[in-house]
Amino acid sequence: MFLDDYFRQYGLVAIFCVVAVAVPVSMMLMSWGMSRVGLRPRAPSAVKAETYECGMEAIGGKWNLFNFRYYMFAILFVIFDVEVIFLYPWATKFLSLELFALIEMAVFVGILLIGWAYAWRKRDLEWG
Amino acid sequence: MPLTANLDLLTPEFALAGLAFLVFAADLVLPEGRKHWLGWLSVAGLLALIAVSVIMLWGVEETLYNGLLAVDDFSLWFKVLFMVIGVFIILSSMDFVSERLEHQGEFYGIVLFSVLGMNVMAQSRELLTAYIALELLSFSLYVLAAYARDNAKSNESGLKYIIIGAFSSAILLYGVSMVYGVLGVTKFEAIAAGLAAIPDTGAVSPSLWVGVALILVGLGFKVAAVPFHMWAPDVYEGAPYPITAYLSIGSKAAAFALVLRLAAEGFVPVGDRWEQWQLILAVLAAVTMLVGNLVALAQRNLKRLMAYSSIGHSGFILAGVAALSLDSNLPSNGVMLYLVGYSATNFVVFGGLISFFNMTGKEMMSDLAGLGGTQPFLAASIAIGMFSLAGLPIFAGFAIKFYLFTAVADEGFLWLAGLAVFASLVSLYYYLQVVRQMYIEPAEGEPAYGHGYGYEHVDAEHGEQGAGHNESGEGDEPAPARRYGAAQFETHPALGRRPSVTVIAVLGAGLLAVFWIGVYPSPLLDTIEAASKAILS
Amino acid sequence: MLFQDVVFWLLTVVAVGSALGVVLIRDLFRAALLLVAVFVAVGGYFVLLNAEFLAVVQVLIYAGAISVLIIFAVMLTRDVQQGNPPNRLQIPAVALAALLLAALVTVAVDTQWSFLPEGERQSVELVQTAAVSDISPETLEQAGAAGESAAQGVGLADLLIGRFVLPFEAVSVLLLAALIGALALVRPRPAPQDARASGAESASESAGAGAAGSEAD
Repeated sequence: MFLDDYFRQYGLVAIFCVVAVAVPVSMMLMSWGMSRVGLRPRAPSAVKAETYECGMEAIGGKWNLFNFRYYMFAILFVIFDVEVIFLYPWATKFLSLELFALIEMAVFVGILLIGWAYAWRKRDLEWG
Repeated sequence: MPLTANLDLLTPEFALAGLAFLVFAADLVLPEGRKHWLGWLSVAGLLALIAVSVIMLWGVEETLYNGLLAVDDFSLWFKVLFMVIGVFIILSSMDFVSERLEHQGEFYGIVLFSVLGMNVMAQSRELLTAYIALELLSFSLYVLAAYARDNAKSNESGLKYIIIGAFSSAILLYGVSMVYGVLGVTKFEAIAAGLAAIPDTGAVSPSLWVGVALILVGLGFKVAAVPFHMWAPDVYEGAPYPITAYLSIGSKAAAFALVLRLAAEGFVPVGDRWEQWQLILAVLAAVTMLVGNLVALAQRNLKRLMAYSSIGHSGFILAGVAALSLDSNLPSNGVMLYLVGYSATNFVVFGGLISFFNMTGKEMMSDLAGLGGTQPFLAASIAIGMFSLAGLPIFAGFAIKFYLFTAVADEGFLWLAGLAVFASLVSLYYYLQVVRQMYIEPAEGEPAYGHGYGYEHVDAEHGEQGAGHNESGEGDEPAPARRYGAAQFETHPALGRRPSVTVIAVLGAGLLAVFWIGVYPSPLLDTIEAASKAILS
Repeated sequence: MLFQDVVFWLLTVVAVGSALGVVLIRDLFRAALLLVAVFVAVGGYFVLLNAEFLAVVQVLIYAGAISVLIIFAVMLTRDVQQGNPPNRLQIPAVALAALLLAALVTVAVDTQWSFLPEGERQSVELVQTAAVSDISPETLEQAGAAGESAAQGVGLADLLIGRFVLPFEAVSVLLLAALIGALALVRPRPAPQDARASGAESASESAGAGAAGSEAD
């Protein structure tokens, strides 16, 4: 057997990855190839080179400082992301686990809900 | 259902977590001026929990969750120690917190979380449980070390602590994973069984030894043993003063509780191989006590001095760990007695120093000049603490050192005991330097290290910005805008007032403990003996 | 087997190449993006090793959350465009890291990973961590624990909500402590109507003042 079942499933993931890389790369290649054979017109202008071709004019350099508040949301996101990871194995076996597991998970989520309530009450979830 | 059996034995832990939640909840509703109530609430809760633990768990010997946790005399003993430490830390930080820190409610709640982490650490008999508990403690301490947000030193301290802490945790986990990979177990006693089952002949698995070594290194970072101690002075210096005390008392005791149980249940029963590791530990202990005490000689900042002093004391305690054996409870008794004596002594020293800092905002050794005249009680407390740390008789320091060093020598590490005595003699010099500053140096003299004052002034001002702030934090000082001028050399008016009742009570209790352990430690030793029996049998 | 070998080497090229990029590229933002590539490649290793749960964790937590945190941290930091200037400890650091790598590889290769006598080994526990909910008989066989019927139908989930339930709950307390601590440390100062904040400076300004103070000594 060339591949067992386990890897055959991930073969789909691999194919997906290959396609995801291949599509944009082939587009760029086609564009480049057409310009070689003269099919693609070439007329550069200053407006085309702007960051946003339409709408607002870009102000300032490429670097600007983010508002500090984003960081609090990032922290909250990380914490709750980790919580979700713990939900996952529990969810896969939910039917065969007993009531005890449900209570345990309720406690687990409940403790983190305290954190959420705390952040809410302390106005950390508000902007400004 | 086996999982819910005996769950009531964990009541103190659940209640402690509940207490922390309660503090956070109360913090949400209390108005800004009443936040110190949270401190009192935490203290009352901890005291109640000490009583509950002792009444409920005295003499209980059970394991929970298939041996993951042990509820025995050892855990009870350390639990009580940790909660007492928590009470002292909260009491001695209340003035500091209300004057100099923001977010007071979180401060007390996080201290409670760290106590919870320590409690679980002392009772875990499994590497991953211990690791999670250790992380709970460490995370709380990272936050607390950086708690003075506007103080660059405190930020630096938190940053260094979290980087080194994460690094050492990673090393510890890597070691755990290697041990697990070879033996397939993480429980301490199963590790001992696995190690003992290794055939003496044939291929020895290097991963196992590397894993054990990495665990040793990871824990070495946590207790600040010498090749892994670099973080300690910087972190201690930058952290808010009560947290410096907490680091040197609480986190050290917790780390040694874990080391003691891990060594006694996981490695000591292995026999021959433990003897090889004993030698490694002994060398580590020797280097730690020498480096800690010798480098302390050069320190001028009180917090750094205490940091190196605590590194030196880590060395003494490690010597006790190295001497552990199945034949005798003496080394493990010695370690525990040392921890409690060292904690009591450090309460006294730090209680005095924190109170001094609250009055003046200064933390250099030279700033103590003349304290014997202006604040006789504080000075006497600090002096007694210093004598005890140095190991002079009738104070706790002598009794604990005598007991521990005798135990170490009894187990065949005479050279190590000798070295420990030598290191203690060295330490006498710098401890007495502090005493000399307080009693012999003139109060109005030229400050010898005046150039170092810039950041301390910032230290005094963090948490409250703007010109309306005064250094003592007491309301009636005429609040001059004291920026980096010459005005800081004048004597501090706050030094004229008496320390608060809380300070006197904390220091009094600490002094009582120091004398009691120094003169009549045998009731304490009975409890320690019971705790030792629980892990060494 | 061929397929897995190809995938392994592909992943290795991506992982090692990106990791070198993380260290060598001076632009911190690009380094952070390359770090994401390293995380994803490591997730691929976990898939190859039959540890699907770890792969999910790796992608969700590391490639998802941690990298967001890192990129935010980069975007929030001033003077980050200076990049990652070389310092004089670079060569010793490289040497030390290489030495450590060599030692760890040697150890891992030399180790006879299951040399304990059959009775002492608890391979069931090892196997249990491989599968999230149920262990297939093949996995059991691979781990040399064939016939251990006790492990059938038991996986990571049962360990997590079963024997390891207390550490599991402790994790939630740990996360809560981290959450509250982090928020308390980074929370912007309250608006001026609050009594405490006499000067409602932004956090960056006060940090600058603190830095100036430390330079003054």
